[in-house]
Amino acid sequence: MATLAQQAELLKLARLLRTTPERLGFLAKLDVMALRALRAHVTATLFDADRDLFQRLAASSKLLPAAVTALIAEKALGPLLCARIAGLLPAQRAADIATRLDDRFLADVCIELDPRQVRALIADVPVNRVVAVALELARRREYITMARFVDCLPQPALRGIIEALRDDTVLLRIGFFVEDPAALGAVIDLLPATRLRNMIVAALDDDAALWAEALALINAIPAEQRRRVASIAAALDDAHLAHLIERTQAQDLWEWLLPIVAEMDAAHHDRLAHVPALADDGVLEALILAADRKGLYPQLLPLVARMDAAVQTRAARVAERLGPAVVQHLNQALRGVAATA
Amino acid sequence: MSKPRALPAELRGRPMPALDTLDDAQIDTLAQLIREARRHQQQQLRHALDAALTHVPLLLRGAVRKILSP
Repeated sequence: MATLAQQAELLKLARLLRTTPERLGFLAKLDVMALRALRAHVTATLFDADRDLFQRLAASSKLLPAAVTALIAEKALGPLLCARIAGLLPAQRAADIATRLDDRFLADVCIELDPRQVRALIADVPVNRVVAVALELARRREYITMARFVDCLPQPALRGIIEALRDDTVLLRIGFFVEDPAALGAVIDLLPATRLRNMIVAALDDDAALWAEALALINAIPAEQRRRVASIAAALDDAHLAHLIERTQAQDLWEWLLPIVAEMDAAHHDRLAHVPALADDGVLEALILAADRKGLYPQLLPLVARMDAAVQTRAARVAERLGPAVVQHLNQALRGVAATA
Repeated sequence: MSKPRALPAELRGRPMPALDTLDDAQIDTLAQLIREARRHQQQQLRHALDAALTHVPLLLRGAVRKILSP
């Protein structure tokens, strides 16, 4: 099954080719990077095909007052051509025209735009207009489009959008589709802890595979923000902490959770180690297997160290049942910890 | 040994190793979609140019038409 990132890439490519993602089903075997490269190629191909005319259109617009150009943009050019031409105009001039356009039309243009081509233009558009267009896109559930703009928005605009978008699930869904999760560092820094907590809870409570996507995302963001998110997750109430363990166990996601657990401090390890759901033989087995498979014993052992002696004994029995290779790896990891202590 | 896959003409000059995993029919479909998208873009451009001129003030219409004409 295609991942969320693959689905997003197929949708973006489908839009570029004026078709449906279903018609591009045969491309689902390509990975995200290949799909992204293909989209970049097609974007360049389509632009190059009519580059001369786009440039002429951009040049002719300089003869006209901004108000007339805005009228022509909306009544004659339409969103696709405006998107192609936007990057060819001087940024200030393009921003002047953009501020005269209707929010719904600008949202249509955003769907067609390559945001990286118009970074300077966006910086010149007043924050309140950027926020209004973002709200229009959110109303249409255009999360994939919104995600493309995250690393192209200046901080005041980002702050304005975060304050205006009150639904934390929307922020989470946008986050899933950001092409470079490193760009989310600035967004996470702007979010208060309560909103980050709400996003974690939303991922846990969702019936779809959002928890898996959320864990993948947390693992991909910069270390500083990952530590912050890990600490917020560790401070969830008992019921949600138990839910977190159940979800992770049900979907076998320990190899994704363990690196996040490793970012937690000793007090949080202590609390997590005493969640009753963790003291289950099935959970202990899945934890040890994930650590063994992915070489994550250094991430697992600080948590085990905080468990009650009875649970530690059970964990040791589980490891024995899993075979001599697992015991050997575990012992090696324990010796490594002892050597560095 | 299988021969190297030919790139669709629409992406000529832009190497795409990932397309090697597609079969001939899939490459043809992709090329057809790119052709259709180009046609759509050109169609939009033609309509837009005609429509745009009707909104240009008469005084400037000649100058704008001159820039837009190839």
